[in-house]
Amino acid sequence: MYRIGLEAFRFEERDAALYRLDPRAKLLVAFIYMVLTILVNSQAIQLLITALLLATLLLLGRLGRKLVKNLVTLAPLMTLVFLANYLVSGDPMASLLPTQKLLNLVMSLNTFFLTTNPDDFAITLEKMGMPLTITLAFSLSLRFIHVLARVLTEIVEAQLSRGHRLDTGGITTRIRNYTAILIPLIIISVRKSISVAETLELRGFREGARHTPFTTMKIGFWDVIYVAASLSIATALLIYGGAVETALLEILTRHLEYMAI
Amino acid sequence: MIRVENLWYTYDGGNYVLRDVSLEIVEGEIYYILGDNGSGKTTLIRHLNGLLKPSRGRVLVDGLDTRETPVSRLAEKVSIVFQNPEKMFYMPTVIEEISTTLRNFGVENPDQRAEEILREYGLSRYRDRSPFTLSGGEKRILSIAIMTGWSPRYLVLDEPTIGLDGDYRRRLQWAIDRHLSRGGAVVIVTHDMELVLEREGRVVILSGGQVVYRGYTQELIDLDPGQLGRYGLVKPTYARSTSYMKTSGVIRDYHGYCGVFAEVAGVLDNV
Repeated sequence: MYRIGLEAFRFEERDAALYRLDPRAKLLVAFIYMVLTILVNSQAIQLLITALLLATLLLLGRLGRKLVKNLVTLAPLMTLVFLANYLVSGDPMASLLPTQKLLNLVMSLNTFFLTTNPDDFAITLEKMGMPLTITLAFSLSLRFIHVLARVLTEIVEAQLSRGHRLDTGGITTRIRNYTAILIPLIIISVRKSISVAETLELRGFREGARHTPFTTMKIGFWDVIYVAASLSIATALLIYGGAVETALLEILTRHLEYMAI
Repeated sequence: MIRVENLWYTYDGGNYVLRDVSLEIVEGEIYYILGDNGSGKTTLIRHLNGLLKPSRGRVLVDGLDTRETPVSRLAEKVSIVFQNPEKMFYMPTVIEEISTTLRNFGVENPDQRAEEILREYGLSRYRDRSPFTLSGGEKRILSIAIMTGWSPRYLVLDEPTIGLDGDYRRRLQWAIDRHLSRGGAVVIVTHDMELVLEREGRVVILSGGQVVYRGYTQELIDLDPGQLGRYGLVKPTYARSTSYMKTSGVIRDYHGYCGVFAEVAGVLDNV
């Protein structure tokens, strides 16, 4: 499980339509879906958003296996959200809505982060007027996820090899067991970040410096189509949400009745 | 004995990083696993104590199948010292770092034994220091001291000579010799040909996840530099000089002279 963990959120180059789109278009669409997810409080429409995002990720991104890993990693958190809501409200259907929202928020972000190179992400932010220091920090943090995943795996393996047991004892013991992972992880992460900072200085990086990106970005025909389609769907769902919900519920009821017969 | 039988391994379900690797590791012997970067050496050793489970084939440690045996039980027999020692440290002092591991494996009088280990490895003066404040060589020797404390049967060292100077190199040699003299087996993953040629042992070369060469260290020295270069290996200067002298007809007893030159090189290193 620890091996899947952070790998599930790492960018991997792939030959698929979603990867070829302009990062700005993808970021805008991810934002549209996130806003829609937050604003809509109907479970049927949330289900529709899940279906749309799934179709985007599977058909345009060919991210089937990666998405499964991603959801497996998120499953404990989603279960926790569901249980916490259920304990408060006592209504399982009402507790499902925040879980659905979490799922859709993560999938919206996935349409951007799983398909965009961290370097392109930095350039996108720069194009949006953010200073280089901040964009570089973003891009380095994203790249660091992969490094951290590898370090974490190696630490766990080193501790298991010296007879350290992670999953034994009560909850307090288990938490204490994980200090053997956290201490080297924190120290190594801090050292790595210091070494990155020193390397930047050695390479002449300074605050306020301007640079010319190696790759240039251009909004193309398919970028416009992608944004326009997503925006139209989102607007339609926001305006005609009630009607769509009724129609969806009717279809679902008929389907269930048909199944019962 | 450790038996690696037709081992295949893939991380992502697609590309195999180990392909049909078979190997036997017998007590009392030393094994060198060599090969270029990405040839699967580290992946192979991570199978020996069950950290990785074979995709196909199996690994048996004293008859225990690693697919069915927990790592904690296998780690008692197979001790792996990884490349970066820092990844195993988490206790505030050097002495606690050693005694904690001894406790993990149920060694009697762990505190007393930890003091002995410190003395044996010449680390007593660092007793109360944080392991993170030690130098690279000291950290490496400390990691070996930690991982040999409970006398495991098989000692696996991943690139043990990186960052070791003459004195720490001698302590490493001492640890290897002691482990062998106690009847244990030593497996060394390395690019350091000087280390390989210092001691008679078995050699396995991996390339692209497959075993491409099996033999003994003395046979390895006869391979031409081009062949070794393909596997990311370079003969030490003294071995190359001796090869040249033999082909020029200056000497006949290649291995004998090579041994003498190796000793001279060792003496010069320590001057």
